[in-house]
Amino acid sequence: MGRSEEPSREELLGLVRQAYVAGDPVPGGLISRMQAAAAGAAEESGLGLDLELMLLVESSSGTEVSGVRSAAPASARSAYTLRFAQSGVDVLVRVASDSDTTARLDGWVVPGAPMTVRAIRGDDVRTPIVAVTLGSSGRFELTSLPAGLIRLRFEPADGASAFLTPTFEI
Amino acid sequence: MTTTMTRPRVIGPPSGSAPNRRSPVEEGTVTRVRRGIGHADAPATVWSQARADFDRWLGGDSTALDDLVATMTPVLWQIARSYRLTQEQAEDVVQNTWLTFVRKHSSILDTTAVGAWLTLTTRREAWRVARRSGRDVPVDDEALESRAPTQRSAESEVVEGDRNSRIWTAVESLPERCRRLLRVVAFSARPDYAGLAEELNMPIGSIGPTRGRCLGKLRDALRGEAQWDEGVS
Repeated sequence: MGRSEEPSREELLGLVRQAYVAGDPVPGGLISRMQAAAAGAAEESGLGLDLELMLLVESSSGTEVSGVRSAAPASARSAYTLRFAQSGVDVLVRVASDSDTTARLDGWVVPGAPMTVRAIRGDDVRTPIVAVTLGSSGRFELTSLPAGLIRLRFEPADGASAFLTPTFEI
Repeated sequence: MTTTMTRPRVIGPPSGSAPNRRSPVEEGTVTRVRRGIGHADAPATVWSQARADFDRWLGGDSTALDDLVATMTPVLWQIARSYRLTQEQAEDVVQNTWLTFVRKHSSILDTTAVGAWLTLTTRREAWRVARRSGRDVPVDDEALESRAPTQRSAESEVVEGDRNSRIWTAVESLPERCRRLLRVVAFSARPDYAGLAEELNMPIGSIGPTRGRCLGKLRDALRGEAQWDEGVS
């Protein structure tokens, strides 16, 4: 064929994969056993089963909300705030634009505890999930988020159930 | 489409609804196994699929965990088996990786790194188990070169097709150090040289050159199989 005789590095590594996939294949049933193990562990730690959907309890526009740090640039004239709550956890989020096409979120989780906060796309925009960790202050900020629909997911570091907000527009 | 809104639009269930429960299972209890995984797929496909699965799981789709496990388990199996573990040991290692993942997934902030996180976790665990059972140190190249062919056993009988068995023969003819190195590199997202150097008991600076030599040996071995002109496709 029109190929050079010498296989490239990538081609050789591809052949190595091919050899082992054929020569030492995954044992029958391994995948379903692993699926069962992972699902069992997820249920045990309350993931999935107890994912708490937060409710929007308050929204306002244009006003500063005390307690939320306002680090947004002056261009963010159309900032608004949202408040979500569920099972004794309150989240206050201030949304402002930080450029023509992106937004920033300044948030405050009460009670504060170490956790991971992720901004998950709620639409088809193909951008990676953005995440930060926050300490016991409960404060977090997410910047340069492309405009569109997102949800926030809060994963307490102590393994307690994760919280998920409804989808909202930024 | 303005990017700044004065009025937040919130999409979600009406207030007062109960906390989200596990989303309905769509396909009963049928094991969801993906086509084509494993596999000699271009690795980039596997890593981006893993990220998409992880993203969906984080978004609340509990069935996505099954998909992630189906996407990555064949790769993790290959990594674990690179450490000369028995099938039972390798299965335990892969299972531990999944349990660790479920427990610690919050530490993976960048979801594009989920494949790399899983392969690295598997390698560390596999190496730990290998050391415990005295299987960790690859035999010297020289010692092995002469008896490598005798190590093909049950595994090679499974291989079907001339082409696959030719490739298998070529790979199996390599010294053990080469086989481990190439197998780990071939199935890893971002093999870290420091870890490989420690595991293979080699200076870190020699991993790159060794890999190059090993690939050269494989090239020669394939040529020796005398069928190379069929192409690589």
